[in-house]
Amino acid sequence: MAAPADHPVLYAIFGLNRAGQILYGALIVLGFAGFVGWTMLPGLSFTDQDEALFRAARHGDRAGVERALAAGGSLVHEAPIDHKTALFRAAVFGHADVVRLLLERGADPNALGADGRSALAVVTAAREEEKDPAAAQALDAVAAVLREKAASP
Amino acid sequence: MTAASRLTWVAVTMLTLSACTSDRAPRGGEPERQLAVATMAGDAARVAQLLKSGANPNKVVVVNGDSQSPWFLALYQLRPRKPETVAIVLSMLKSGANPNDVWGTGGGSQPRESAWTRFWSTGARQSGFGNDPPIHLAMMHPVPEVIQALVAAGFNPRYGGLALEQAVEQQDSAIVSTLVEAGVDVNSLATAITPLVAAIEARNVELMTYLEAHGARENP
Repeated sequence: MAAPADHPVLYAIFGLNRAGQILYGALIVLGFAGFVGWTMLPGLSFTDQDEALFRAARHGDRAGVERALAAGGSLVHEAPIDHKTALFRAAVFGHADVVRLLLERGADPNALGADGRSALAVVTAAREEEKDPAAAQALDAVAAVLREKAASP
Repeated sequence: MTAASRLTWVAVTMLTLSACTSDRAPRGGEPERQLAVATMAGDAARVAQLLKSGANPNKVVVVNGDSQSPWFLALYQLRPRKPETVAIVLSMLKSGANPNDVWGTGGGSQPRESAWTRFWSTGARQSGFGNDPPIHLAMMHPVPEVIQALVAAGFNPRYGGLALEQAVEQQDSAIVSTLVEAGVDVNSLATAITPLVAAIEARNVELMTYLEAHGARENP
């Protein structure tokens, strides 16, 4: 075996005793697997029904949301790119009625996106930069619905 | 291993390595130097005259100590509010400027980027001699006419992913439609997000609907 001083990094990992090798080896492998799973799972579990549900949520299409949910769209699945649920899509475009519908069907008002913000935080930030009064009012309505549900789940 | 097979291995390795390195920049002469000077002066009439007499905008000459092609200088100084810069870019595109490759350097007085930074950056490089797709430079100060002219000149839509996402972020629907119609992938992942997610973050319903109509999906 090479002298430890020749390979300080390798020695830090493999110079451990057997218990340390197993413990740290397991941590590294599990951590890597967890990271890969966290980045890849939303993409793998995202179905065509989810695609329809998100699209209807973006456009505030109540009937479309009902149809997509009946067809098997999921309130829990996250978008693969930003890890946000259908609730975020309806909320950010100011569709209070669709947000209420999704919450009634069991969507989690406290879910977080990849940026670590909840739907309420996203809507509040959008409200601050909104200049069109009608759109601002719609965002206020969404924020009210989200606050109500987040307070009393 | 015989000497012949060893020689074959060396030859194959050298050929593979040479295929991996980028092409050398085409070097220009006096007409190209004059074209570069006229471009920097913003003299659109002189540029048109030099192009007509055969100066090649793709060829590289030394200007102020930096290797630049007139095509790079024209794209680098492009500003929507300076019509002469737009006219110069358009006339170069008509006279054979390459819509997919441009050689130059973004300012030799600045500190050079490290090779590592350049390896990871997706946009136009800030400094250091090299080549890039012209669309990356054109999107620094985008002009819809110029993007349309690039497309008309035979732009390869493979290079358009980053530009499409930037255009969506800037909510420039003219450039978005030009790029999508040119065949740029609406689900491209040139950056961390797709054009559709960029439209959602900008809360732009028209752009979102347009991208959906051209096949944009949450799961790209």
